[in-house]
Amino acid sequence: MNLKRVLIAISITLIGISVTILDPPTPAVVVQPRFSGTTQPTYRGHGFTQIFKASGWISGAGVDFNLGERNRRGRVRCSISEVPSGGSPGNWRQRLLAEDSVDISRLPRRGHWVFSFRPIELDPQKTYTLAIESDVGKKEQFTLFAEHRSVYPEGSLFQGDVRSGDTLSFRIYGMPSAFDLYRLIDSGGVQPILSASGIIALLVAFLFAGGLLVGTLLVPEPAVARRRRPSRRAGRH
Amino acid sequence: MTRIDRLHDRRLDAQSLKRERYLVILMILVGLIEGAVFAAVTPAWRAPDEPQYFKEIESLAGKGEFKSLTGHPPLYPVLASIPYLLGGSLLKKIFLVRFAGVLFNSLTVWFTYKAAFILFQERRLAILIPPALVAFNPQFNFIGASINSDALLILFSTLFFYLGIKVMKSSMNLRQGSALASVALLGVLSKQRFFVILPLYLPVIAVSVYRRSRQEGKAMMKKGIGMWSAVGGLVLLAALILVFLVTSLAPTGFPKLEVLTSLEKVWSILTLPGFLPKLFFEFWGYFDWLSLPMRNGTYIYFLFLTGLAAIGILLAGLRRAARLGLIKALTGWRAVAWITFLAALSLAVYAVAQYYIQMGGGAQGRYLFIAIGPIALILGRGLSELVPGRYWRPALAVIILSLLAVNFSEIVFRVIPYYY
Repeated sequence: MNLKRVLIAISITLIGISVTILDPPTPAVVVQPRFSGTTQPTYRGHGFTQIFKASGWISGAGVDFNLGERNRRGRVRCSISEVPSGGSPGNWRQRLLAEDSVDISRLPRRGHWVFSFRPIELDPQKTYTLAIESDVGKKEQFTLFAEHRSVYPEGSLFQGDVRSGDTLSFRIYGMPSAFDLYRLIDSGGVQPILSASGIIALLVAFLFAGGLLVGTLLVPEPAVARRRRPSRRAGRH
Repeated sequence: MTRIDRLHDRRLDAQSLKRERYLVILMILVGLIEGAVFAAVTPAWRAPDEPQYFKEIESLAGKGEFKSLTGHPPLYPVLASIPYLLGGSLLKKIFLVRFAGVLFNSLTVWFTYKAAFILFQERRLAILIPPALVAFNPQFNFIGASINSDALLILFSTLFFYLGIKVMKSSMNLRQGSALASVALLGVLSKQRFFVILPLYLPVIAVSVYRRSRQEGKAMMKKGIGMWSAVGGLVLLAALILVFLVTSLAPTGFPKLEVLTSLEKVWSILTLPGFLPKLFFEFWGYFDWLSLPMRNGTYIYFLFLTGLAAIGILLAGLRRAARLGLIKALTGWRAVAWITFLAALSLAVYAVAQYYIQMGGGAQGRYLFIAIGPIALILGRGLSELVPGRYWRPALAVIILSLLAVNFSEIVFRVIPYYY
């Protein structure tokens, strides 16, 4: 167990990592959800809820916005919930499936934001709600705008503007992630950077190296004294 | 002590040192692998400010243009362009750029060890716990493995602390001074947050000059103060000019430094309910865009560890005061060191509150990473006080094993299921 061996181990690990990334994952097939639905203002906070039925997968929603004011505090939350059959807008007891939120201070003043959450397979028989809410009060005049152009030629999901009648209005894209920003629309979806086998290999390497570390601590230190003492005695003879 | 005994001791020391280094290198190796896991598991753009940084790097490496989208200086995008160019597909580029941050992290762990080695020469546990706490801090690994200039900033700030401690502990020379100045410049070029720790430059010089003047007389002291003030002033000036230049390049401009924020306002922020717990949670682990907390048990574990360390620090203080006498413990160069420490602590607290004010509630625990080295040193010293010296091995094994278990379980049972 000397420095050389450790360096060899590090090299092997790094080579392993390099080899793993030579094997990029196959792009996930993303099924575009098909939507139909109506829009309702939310009953609490500021925002609105999109009620829809859809098939396919959904793992996010995007908004276009234009923050007019400098005083930007609070959070914007995006959530997807399932509405149990028999429910009505007045007495919904929605089952929250996933959510994502962002601090408003993180948003640039103007642009586009995509909320992401775990992929959810939508059942066409069920009703869902996609809600965008903000805890920003009216006084802050936090204004979002919507536009008609879609960045998803195949997947423009909610046509036209949706307005809550309040100071917020959003355009929702039903697509997974911010990948479109960087021409990744083809691979789409939320996916790991390495293949599953690469990640498993790294986790095994983590356990192995961790075991080596703890194991080294538990093995008693070979005392130099043991080797030195005989020679000292020998010297005296 | 005979000559042979001295040789024997020296050899024992050399052997111990080698084993210590071996352990730290192993910690770094495990940290590298953990960083690689985070880099691989976190989907693209699912880390703070990642899209903006990536776009900066893409623009710099692709078109040779630097356009600051993050409002931060260009050193990180310049360095990150190298792994960017090495990668083929977009996913590979993302992975390699992220992994560069992991490499910066491993250097941070190393310099934390070096600082601990200088400070706690005879306490193995105190030397080895700090690098372990840094290497196995889940948030540190997550942030390092994201496309963000934080890893570079943390590296330079830790290096700055290490060099500062080195200068304070030994006699100063021009080489060390230049190194400090260079690191300060690089730090400012990484992220303007580095400004927060720049004032520490002066107490560092003060302690060093004080110690040297005791040894070599007042003439040296005058010479030392003159020389170092000049170097320090030049560094600050150069840094300010650079930041001004970079600021003028940024389209949106930097958030204004509200230097004159009243202490009352800072205090009101610090006492906001939930503010300190938020910082604590985010210091140890809060992944994604701060939307993925760790499990409650993990936070309780870190709370327990921090609590133990606090008790240890208290005990260490009491023991030292009992040994040295209160007056001796609080005077001389120790006084200057204490002032430095308190100044660092106040600055850290002030900086976080300042960011909180500027960002409109957006202060994050990772802002404390600029002081992750000193924080780990303090925690390590505290924990080491609770364990008798001869049990350092099993104690360290328990600490490392628990940290590894926490990290592994968070990745496997929290992060992976969240995304996939």
